[in-house]
Amino acid sequence: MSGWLVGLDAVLSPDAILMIVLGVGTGIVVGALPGLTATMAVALLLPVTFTLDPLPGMMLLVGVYGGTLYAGSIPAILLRAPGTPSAAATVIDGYPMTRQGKAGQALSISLVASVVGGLTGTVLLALFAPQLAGVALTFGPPEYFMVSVLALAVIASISAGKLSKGLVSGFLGVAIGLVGMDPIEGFPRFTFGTTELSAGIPFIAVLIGLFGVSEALTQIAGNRRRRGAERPPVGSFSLGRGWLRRLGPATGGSSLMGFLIGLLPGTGGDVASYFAYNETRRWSRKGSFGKGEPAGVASAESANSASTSGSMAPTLVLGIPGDSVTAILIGAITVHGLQPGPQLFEGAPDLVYGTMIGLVLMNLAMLPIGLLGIRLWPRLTAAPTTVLWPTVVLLSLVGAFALRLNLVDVAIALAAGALGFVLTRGGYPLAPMVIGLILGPMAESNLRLSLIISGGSLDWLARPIPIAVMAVIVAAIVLTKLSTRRAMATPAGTAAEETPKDRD
Amino acid sequence: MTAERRSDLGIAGATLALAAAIAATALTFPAGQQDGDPGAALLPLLLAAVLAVLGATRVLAPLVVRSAPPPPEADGGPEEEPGPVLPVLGMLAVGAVSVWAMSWVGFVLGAALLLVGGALLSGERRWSRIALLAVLVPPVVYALFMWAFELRLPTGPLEAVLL
Amino acid sequence: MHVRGPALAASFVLLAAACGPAADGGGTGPGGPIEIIVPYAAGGGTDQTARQLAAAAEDTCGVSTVVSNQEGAGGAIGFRTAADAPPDGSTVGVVSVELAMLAHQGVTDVTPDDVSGLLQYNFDPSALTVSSDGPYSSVDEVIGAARDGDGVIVGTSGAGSVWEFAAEGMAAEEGVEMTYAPFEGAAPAITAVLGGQVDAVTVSGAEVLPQVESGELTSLAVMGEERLDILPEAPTLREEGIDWVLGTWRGLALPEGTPQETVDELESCFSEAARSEQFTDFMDTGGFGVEYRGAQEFDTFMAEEFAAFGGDGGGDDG
Repeated sequence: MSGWLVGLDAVLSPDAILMIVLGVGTGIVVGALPGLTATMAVALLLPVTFTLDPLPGMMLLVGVYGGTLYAGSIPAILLRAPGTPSAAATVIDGYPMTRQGKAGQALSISLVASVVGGLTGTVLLALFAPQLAGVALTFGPPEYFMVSVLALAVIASISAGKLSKGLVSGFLGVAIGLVGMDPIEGFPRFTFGTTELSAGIPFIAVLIGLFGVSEALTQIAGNRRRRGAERPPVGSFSLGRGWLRRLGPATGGSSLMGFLIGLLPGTGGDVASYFAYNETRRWSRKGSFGKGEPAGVASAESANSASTSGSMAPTLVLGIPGDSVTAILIGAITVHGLQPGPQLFEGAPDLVYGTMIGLVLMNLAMLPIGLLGIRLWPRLTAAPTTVLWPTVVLLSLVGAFALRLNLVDVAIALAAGALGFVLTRGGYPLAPMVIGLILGPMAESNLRLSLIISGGSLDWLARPIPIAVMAVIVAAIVLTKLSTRRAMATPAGTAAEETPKDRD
Repeated sequence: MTAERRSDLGIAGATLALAAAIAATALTFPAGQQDGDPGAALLPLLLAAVLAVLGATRVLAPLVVRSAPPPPEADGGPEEEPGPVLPVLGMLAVGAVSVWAMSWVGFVLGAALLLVGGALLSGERRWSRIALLAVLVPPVVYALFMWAFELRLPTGPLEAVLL
Repeated sequence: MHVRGPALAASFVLLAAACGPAADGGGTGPGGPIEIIVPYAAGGGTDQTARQLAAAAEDTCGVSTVVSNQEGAGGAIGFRTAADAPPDGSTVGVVSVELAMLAHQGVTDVTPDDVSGLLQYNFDPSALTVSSDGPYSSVDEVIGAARDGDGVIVGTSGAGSVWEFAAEGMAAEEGVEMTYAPFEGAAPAITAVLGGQVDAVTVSGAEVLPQVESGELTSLAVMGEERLDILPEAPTLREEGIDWVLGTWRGLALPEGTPQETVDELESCFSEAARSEQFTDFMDTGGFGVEYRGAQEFDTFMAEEFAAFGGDGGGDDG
């Protein structure tokens, strides 16, 4: 209990509160811009946190994360261009609502559902994270190895519909992670004799390139073909009559599903929102899903918000990234000399409990800040892109440089941008690459540590947790595969039906 | 052949080449020194094998599996047919040149070059807008990083005057 | 005109305003600002100590200081930048024990010979620490178990790290074999000894202090010349009959070839800063061990350390 008081005390400082508000505000602006992902926003702001204390820095990034995830729905609803990957499922019902002149209502639903999903997820995180932390002390190299394999296996399920492409992307990420001194003996691998690469390719420079630069390149390439869409009226911003009864069950159920999926390392808001959307649709048996059903928007948005809290659990408790954003949050923690994991609960309770309380405040702050902007978005999303994307390239490169004040990192970001562009163009998802880049080294060092500690025997595989984790891996592959197949199949059908009409 | 398929084939080919290069290099790595350690070459060799299989799968994919209808864009990527590649190569070149130039003309001028080039490549033709962009954004970013974030960006003659 | 680029920039400006109070430096003092190069990431132990020292030196040296983090290659990038800077006193590099180790590991060719020592401000010895519930309650028992071939597993903070060197050197001194498990940093190694995954760790005393105070871990010995104030119960290895001293150290250095009068001038004002109450208070609260050496002495010390890490038995000159 004292941890909570320490956390509350820490988070109620003016610095932390200010950072929450600034983070949410910045996140909403960034997330509302199509193509600027939560990952990119957090990666770009990471250098800023180096000069802040750990908790205010964490609050800034968490605020940006939450704000971005919510705001990704804004262009998804208004322009059919999800601002973030997590908002992809929001498009299915959100954009038809806009075409029907109900954009205002869709925006309001998305805001309220995001807040409710975020709060539900945070309560679940607060209830279960300390328990997970107790278990985590029993996690040694064998357990971490199995968990990292579990997370790598999830690449398969987030690549639904393009399995081999997702795997290629993931293993290319592992290949990038090979560069540098090997984790056990310090033997330099693939460094081409350079000093710069001996500590490996800095993954934040790769992230900035893969997401920021490559999206800008894609947009610049496609810019001349884009036409201004004609605009139906925005309509009323009220939630509509009987909203609690109509949207409540979908929002509650989707929040729970979103949290549980977020818990699995490697699955984030995008899978969560598809999953929850599909389950909601199955339970409701209404025919209006895919044709502007408000519950569809509520479901997708509450699920991706709740998954934010879910993915914080493995991050805080095990030091294992729940998704690419929390991977950067780990970087933000370690840069302060703190190691995420069970140690953090004892070493920095203000940070752990403060972060959880901060998540609640962040969601509460999102409501008024979101309402301030909600009438502005329909006007703002019509601005020129010829100015925007070059600015994004500039900020990405500055972000990569600021990381270590090293021009090599800028070159890496540019190269990663080119790689991301080619992969996107070939239909390869980028998220698996990030997962592979982070988890490849983790899997290797823990496998080799396990073998060294056991003197080369494989007895450690028979410990209870590795066996349990192996069972979870099998279950996760089967379940997420089944569910994403269902989730992907149906929206794909509806999207295809909508397409001809939308293009007119 | 669509643009996507061409990129796909290119990526598959590069993956196969990468697999070969990784395997060839990893064979020269020393064995593990402690009991039980499989050594530095284990992961690279496994990875090379996996990449080789995956690369081959992508090359052969359309021949073996009847192509399924494309799934919706789960990655938030572009929905329209991709644009020409030339502006992208141009943007990469402009980015590289302007960053390289920054080390002697300073950040503000280099960034202005990048923004002007980027705007032109995006198809912007209104010079008033380009000028506004090039004059306003670089000093703001520079000031922000220098003073707010305390991170030193490359400084040239112009920044020396501004300071 | 409200375009989106400026909208994004506007939110950054807002952030800048918020960070306003933290934004100082950049003004030019009498001698021009001194750039202090930290070879590790912002926020780490080296960075924290260097920033505190830089702040204290602004008063004593009467110039503004700018800290820039040039991390990478285990510190080699930052060491190289500092060594190659113009030798006029405008650039000061933070150096650490890794400067004496990296060249031997083939990471870089930069050595203590490329810099001219200014002062040393920190020394933290390794502490041999075990789980309080575990089988070992003295250094002798650990060494004895290793001698009997019981496979003592020592967790370290990484391949080629100073703490791995500390464990290997102790074992070599006693002629026993141990198994070294390099984790990614000190914290996972400490977690592993807490969870019983490894038998002991050799990270610094300050790093295990919270767990030692809570009674979960016990430090059997420290590898310093003297006992640590923060771990008064733990004897030195020498008291236990093992002639082995090893720890990490931090200090400041100038590029080789800096004029002697500049070195003298900076040594006097930086050492005043290093002895200021502001700085020593910070070192105490942060658990960093204070050990001071002047320019001449530090130069000699770095050369000895470099030679020691190159040889087989080295490092025992503390």
